[in-house]
Amino acid sequence: MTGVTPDVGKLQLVPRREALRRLLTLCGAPLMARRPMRRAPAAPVACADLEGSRIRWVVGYTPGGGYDAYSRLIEPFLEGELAAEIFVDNVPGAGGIVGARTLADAPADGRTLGLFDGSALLMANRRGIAHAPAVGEDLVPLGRVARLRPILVAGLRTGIRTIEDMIARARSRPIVFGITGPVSQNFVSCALIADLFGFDAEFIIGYPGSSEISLAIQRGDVDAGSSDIGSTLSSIQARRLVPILQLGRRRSTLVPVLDDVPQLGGEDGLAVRRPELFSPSPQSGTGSVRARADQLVTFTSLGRLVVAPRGVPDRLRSCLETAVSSVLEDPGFRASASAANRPLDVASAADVRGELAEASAAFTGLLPAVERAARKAR
Amino acid sequence: MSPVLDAAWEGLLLVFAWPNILYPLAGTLAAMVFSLLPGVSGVTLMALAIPLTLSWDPIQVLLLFGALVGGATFMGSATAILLNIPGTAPNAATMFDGYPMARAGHAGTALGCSAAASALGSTFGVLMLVALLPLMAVLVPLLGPPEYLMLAVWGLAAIATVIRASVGKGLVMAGLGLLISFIGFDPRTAELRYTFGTLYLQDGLHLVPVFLGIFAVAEVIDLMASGRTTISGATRLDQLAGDALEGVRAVFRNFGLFLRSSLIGTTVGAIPGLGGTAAAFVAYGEAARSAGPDGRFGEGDIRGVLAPEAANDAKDGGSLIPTLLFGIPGSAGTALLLGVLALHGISPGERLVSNLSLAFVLIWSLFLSNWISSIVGLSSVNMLSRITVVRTSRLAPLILILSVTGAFAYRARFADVWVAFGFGLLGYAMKRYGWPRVAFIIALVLGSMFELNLHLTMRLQELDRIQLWTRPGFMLLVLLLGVTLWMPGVRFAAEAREMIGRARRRVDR
Repeated sequence: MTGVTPDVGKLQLVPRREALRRLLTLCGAPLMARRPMRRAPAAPVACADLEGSRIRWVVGYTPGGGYDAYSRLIEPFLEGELAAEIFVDNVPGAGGIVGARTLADAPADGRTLGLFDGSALLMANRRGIAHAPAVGEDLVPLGRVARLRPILVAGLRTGIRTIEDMIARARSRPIVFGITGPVSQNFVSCALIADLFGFDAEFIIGYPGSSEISLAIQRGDVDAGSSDIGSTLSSIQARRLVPILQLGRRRSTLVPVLDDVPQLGGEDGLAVRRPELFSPSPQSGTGSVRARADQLVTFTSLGRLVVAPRGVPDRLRSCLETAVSSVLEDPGFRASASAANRPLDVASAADVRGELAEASAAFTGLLPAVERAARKAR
Repeated sequence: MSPVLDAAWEGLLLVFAWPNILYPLAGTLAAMVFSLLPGVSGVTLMALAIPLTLSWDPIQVLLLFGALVGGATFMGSATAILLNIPGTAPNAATMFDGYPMARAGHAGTALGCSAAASALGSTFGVLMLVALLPLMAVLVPLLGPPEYLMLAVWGLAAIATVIRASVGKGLVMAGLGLLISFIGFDPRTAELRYTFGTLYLQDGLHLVPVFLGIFAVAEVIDLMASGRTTISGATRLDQLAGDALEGVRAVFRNFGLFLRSSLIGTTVGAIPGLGGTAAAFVAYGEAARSAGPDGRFGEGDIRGVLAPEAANDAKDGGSLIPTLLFGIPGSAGTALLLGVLALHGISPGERLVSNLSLAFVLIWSLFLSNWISSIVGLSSVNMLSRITVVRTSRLAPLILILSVTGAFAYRARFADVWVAFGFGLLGYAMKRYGWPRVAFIIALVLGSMFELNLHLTMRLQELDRIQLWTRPGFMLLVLLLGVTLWMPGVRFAAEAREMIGRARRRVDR
């Protein structure tokens, strides 16, 4: 551990008048949830219905998490774009389903929007979780903000450093994965990786979150797990976890630690370069290795989507899509996201609709293997 | 000096640098005022303050947020003691004995004890953090599901102590608490249990509306039905017995219990995902067990105030251990704080670890706000105690309004208000017919922790990933559980021998 670093001194240098002004503002903090708009009205004509109104932005997770952070970054820019007041409403519960259902049941008048995980909602709905709305049907996409690359990680103690090591280890005993729940993205990823490479796997299900799985891997309770790069980066950089495989079509260039970690899908992916590593087992379903690998990548890559309830009038929806797209391309927003260490991977509503159709079809192809693994895990 | 002590000193200087010191002061006072509303915790206030602090520098965010968490804690205890309204979920354990003390006219003593235990507990937590930070990198990974399971069992074992008067009814209540804690998703299979097809129950019943119902709403009904003129029975302040100093002295008279409770708080706080509620209830359980037959837990035993308050505040220091070492938040407060720091460009974990003085700014702010709120609390004990001599005809509507507002403010869901009313009726029935509410609440709080870690432990054992008997933490907790369950038996045997001896001597004479 090191002691003091020079930037701490820099941090304390805030002008006294500014500091006092902030303190005065603080006295009204809890009342400020209903604060006035930050920018002068500048709404596009088609969004005039929303001008001056109060828009509820539903986040299905607790304050302080990634979804909450992205939402609060978007909030001031979208307020300016729509000339409306936006308030972030955290509605956590059941892995985001409570918030998503709340949004899906809200009036389709453009005054309720939200930010959700497209892949997680798609899976919950397709696997029959009660009340999980169908993304693309009950919820319509307005754009994509980010998608954080899922990574397969192993513990240092296991001696596993590459996917080849993992396959070799599985010849002597099953690989044990730490999982949050049987209807979670990490379960689908781990189960399908084991299926694709044809190795035996066991699942320890019930860890409350990715942090707890990370600790379980470090303790040696489990061999490996899957999580997005945002949740695992600090542990990978501290050399407590070893990244084995990226679930993507292109190698991520976001962080240097992933430079040597192969990706599963795409032209340059393992499925193309090293097909001999994959399982030829007929149990794994039909289609080529490359197709199956791409299905998994497609399904897990929907990312964090801005959505509205079904039934928003076409003209208003089109206007909201334009406003969201405009915010996501705004250099000011991009600079704020960069300063906050929040990587962006934006896409328009039209692109997201196309990706949703592909992901839905991909999941249909993956479902038999997922169900098989779920039965085994029980 | 060691790097840790250097960083601690540097952090302290930053806190006291002008005008930085104003942030913890303002944050503490704001938290004390707003946390009078039940359901509004330091975490709620932090969430509300996020938009305001986006343009601030991280050092001021740390100062403010540390103070919001620390400042809210004491007022949550004050409403628990005076009105049977838990300010936040961890304060529910303080109500078990704090409110009966207030009813007996000893509100001042309970408040004094709570303030002293809070301030000293927080000091203990910070000292442990500073002393053990270098060791914790080795110790924290040694704790896993088997150890969490034993902590839950240890807490649940307290039910045996608190239901001595009515074992049958106590077991039924504990069973009901466990049953209700299982509502929602099965963590292992994702199947829904006891939700009756409703979305509201998918995530289980949230503790705050249940606590508000079982205790506060039930109390309103009881106050109105019983015809009691005031909470304490007294109508003038000078008729109240006990004072704040007596409460402070109680902490020092039971210093062993204080140390044990603070240690439990720090340890549970260091475990990600368990939180202050588990810390307070496990400490309460340990206090009840260790008191033996002379304990009056659930009826106004001051040790029942001391233990959860010390644990709840000591937990804050503990929860920073995994945050600083692994970038993994140990509590809801630290999770939110890490999220906010990420908005300021500080990645969870890495920068805080490599910049310990920044971390200590947070620690000192938390520490300072705990002391400020305790001192303000102690100096206003008389004013606060006055509530217990206010006529119930005036007080009952106020408690009801606070309960309803608190249930709604918790998550802005009307359904939570109905849950509070439903459990209010249930709580009144429990009180009226002598079914122990404490057993119900302990089981409700620790049930999900018990269930989840039992599953994980069994699965880890089944796959041969762990050897329970070779885990030092597990074995230590088994030993502690054995000793604490065995001691009452030894005492009982000694008393029985003494009685037989006395009887024989009488016969001989």
